[in-house]
Amino acid sequence: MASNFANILLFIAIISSFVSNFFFFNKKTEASIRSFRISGLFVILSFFLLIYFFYTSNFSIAAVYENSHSLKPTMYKVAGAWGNHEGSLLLFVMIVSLYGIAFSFLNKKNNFNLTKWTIFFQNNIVLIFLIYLVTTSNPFDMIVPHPREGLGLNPILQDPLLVIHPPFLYLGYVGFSLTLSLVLASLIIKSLNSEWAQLTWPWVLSSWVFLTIGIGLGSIWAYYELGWGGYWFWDPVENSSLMPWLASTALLHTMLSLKVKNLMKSWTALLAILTFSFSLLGTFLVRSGVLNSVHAFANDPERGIFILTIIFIITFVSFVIFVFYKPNDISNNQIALFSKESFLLFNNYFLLFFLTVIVIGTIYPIILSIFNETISVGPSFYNTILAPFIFIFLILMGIGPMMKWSKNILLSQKKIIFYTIAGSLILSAAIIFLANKKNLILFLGLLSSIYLMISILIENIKNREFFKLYYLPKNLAHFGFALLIFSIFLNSHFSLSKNFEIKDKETIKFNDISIKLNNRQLKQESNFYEMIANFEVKKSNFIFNLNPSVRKFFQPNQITSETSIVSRMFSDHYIVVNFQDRKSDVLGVRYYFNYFIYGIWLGLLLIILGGLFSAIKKRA
Amino acid sequence: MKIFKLVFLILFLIIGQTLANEEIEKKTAQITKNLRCLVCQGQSVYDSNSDFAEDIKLYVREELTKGASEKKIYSYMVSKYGDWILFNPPLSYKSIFLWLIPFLFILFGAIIIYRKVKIEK
Amino acid sequence: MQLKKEHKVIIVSCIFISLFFIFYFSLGKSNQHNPTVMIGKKLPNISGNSLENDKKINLNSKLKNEFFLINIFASWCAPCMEEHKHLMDLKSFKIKIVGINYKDSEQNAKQFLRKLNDPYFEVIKDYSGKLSIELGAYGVPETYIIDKNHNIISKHIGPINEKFVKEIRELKK
Repeated sequence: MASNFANILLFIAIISSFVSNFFFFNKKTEASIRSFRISGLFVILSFFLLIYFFYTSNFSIAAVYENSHSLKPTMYKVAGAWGNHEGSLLLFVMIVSLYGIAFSFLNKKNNFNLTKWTIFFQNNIVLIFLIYLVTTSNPFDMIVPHPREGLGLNPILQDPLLVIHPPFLYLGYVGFSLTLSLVLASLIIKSLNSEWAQLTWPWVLSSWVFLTIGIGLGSIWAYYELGWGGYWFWDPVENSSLMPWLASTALLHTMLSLKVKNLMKSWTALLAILTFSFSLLGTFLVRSGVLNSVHAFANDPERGIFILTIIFIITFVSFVIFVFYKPNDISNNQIALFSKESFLLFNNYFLLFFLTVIVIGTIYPIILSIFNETISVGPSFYNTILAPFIFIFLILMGIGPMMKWSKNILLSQKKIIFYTIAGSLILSAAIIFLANKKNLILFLGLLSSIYLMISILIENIKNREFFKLYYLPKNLAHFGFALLIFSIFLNSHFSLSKNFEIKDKETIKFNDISIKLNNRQLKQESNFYEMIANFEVKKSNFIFNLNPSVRKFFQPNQITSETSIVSRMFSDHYIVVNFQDRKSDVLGVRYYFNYFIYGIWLGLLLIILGGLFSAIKKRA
Repeated sequence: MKIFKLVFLILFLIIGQTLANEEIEKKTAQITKNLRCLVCQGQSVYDSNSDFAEDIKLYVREELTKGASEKKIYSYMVSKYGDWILFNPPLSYKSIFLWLIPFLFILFGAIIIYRKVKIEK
Repeated sequence: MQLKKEHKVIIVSCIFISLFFIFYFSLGKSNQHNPTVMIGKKLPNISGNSLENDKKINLNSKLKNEFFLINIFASWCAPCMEEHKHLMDLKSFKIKIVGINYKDSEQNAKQFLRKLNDPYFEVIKDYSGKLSIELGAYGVPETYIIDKNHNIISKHIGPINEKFVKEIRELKK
């Protein structure tokens, strides 16, 4: 009964979408937009209904039965709504609707023509996915007979970060659906120009900010909760979120050219299409079972074919529209080498290179698998190929903002650049020699990131840009990026990790660290047994305790390992228990000394703040 | 004086051995991070504590102690388990496109930029 | 490059269609790849200490010019218990099976064989896992088929069944 009601809601949403199209083709624009809003409303209602079913543990619904349990804490019951394939797909559709509805209200006054076409495309994206949802992945499918209890959710997924990581990611990469619709609309009505860029900017930006937050949350989750000891693994699922991020960062910068100088129209359109295409590609890759990953979702090749078809329809139609409605770029004139336009071009060159590398690295094993061959593509591939380009990219990031539009001004800036590089050389060399780590890659990484940081500070001082809202977004985001890379290099070269086995009262020593297993405690909580291992760690003069534990859950029968982390000013000491020997005498343990991990989080935070300030800047 | 020398020698050997062990541990970690755990989803041998991973770790450590080169160890692993076990794809006919396509991008991108950008004196 | 719009559409369509089929075909392939590199290769040097009396055995010389099976097992491995009766069947058909006792304790292994009967011609201890690696195995149970010329004809991952027993009998003839 409940399920039928929910299906009716979805059904009305689909009908409204069709009606919207009908009105659109009959030139009844207002009605078309209204129908779209109604469709969206019903999608939102059905999503909340799904949450309600989870909240009340209604096990007659298959999704609730498979993913929930009456003993779960409320927060996780609710989060269970989007912690499964069907529910997350409904979330996906809802966000497409939300962006569309928000746009239709906030953009009412300007540009009616653009609005009607944008909503038309947005509506059809909703429609296509709704049909896919209802036919193959309906979250409201019933289970008969009505089970008494659910199968319980994976305890690894019972985590505050699971509650927010997917929604933020979706608000990010699904939000690019609106970017796509806006671009297609502007192509058709031939208004891809600087006003369009001005109007579209906040929509791309907000999606970008959400996506950055989502990726950051994922890293934080992996590090703090999942006990993987690190924050990024070049895992195919992680890469799937990075692809639209890189494309959209390139897009944001290209739109600057479009905003200010009415340049790069075709390229902007292409990037916008690519960004959402990568969002869709990611959606396909993680759900279809073609990826071999630690993130392994529930894999179903059948669903894969459906998603694949949808993705190809959407992207193919977009490209065809692009080909037929290609905008006339203003001039085929060349741009000066040392101008803002050219540096924005270089920016795209590098970002797209990074994107290419990640796409190839992720997809290559899949392509090879068709020939029943395969290879592994792991971190060393990415690190090797990306590093040299990151160095150059950082340096260019320092020079770029100095450039002016349509001017060639390197000569006047040469002195500053020279002194900045000199300063960075000295600082990086100092770090290398003080730490006694004579490593070329480390040196270049430090050099380029320090250069960028100093360069930004100097620009600020020179032009008195500090805290001027106009410059704040760029300064924060670029400085954050430099800090991020700086911290990544320090972290990868100065961190320590050790796998070892240890018995009670035993001490393991290495470098200037000693670790002693004092004792083990056993506890019982409402839904698990816990074995807590109490360690005493000494590093130089610093003594502290770490208490990782292993939890054995009742329902479902699963074992998780809880990390214990002690944070110092720049770094973390981190222990996780891997296994208990069959004779329960020996513990297998992994210890990490994570150097400068906070620089990484701070760098990410600054990037996000930069994005947020850009949104505020628009209003101010 | 002789005792002094003896003590010094013993100390030297112990330290040397410890350092050597340090080196071997580091190398073992480095190598096993680049080997895929075949019974896990996407984890490296280093990260996994399955029986299989433990066996491989033991083997690598022993071989390093015997003085085997990294190359020898990797080629042994590949001879038993195929290229799939390596996380770092070797440059072979199979992985040629992996490196080629980024390179092509660099080339074509550079050409496009070269055409667009005017170098003023 | 001045391409007509129609040509561009054709090119784009071709790229799309090929991409579509690439992904479509990849859907059917498993993402777990089971290395089968050792199949077709010559049996590597397998020697170790026997479970029975700790004597050094070298399979290659002991079973020269003979057809036999290698079965990796352990007393703590549940599927090994499952397949045991099929191993006994094979023994009754005069097929020589060499057991590799993987990461076990002598006591438990001997008890296991006493309780369930011993299908093995010889059992070699592999408590460090090195022999398994030498064979390119990664789990228990795994069974290898070795022909007279000591080529590894094939391998079976997981517990063997009646079908497998039939196949072996055919092969031996």
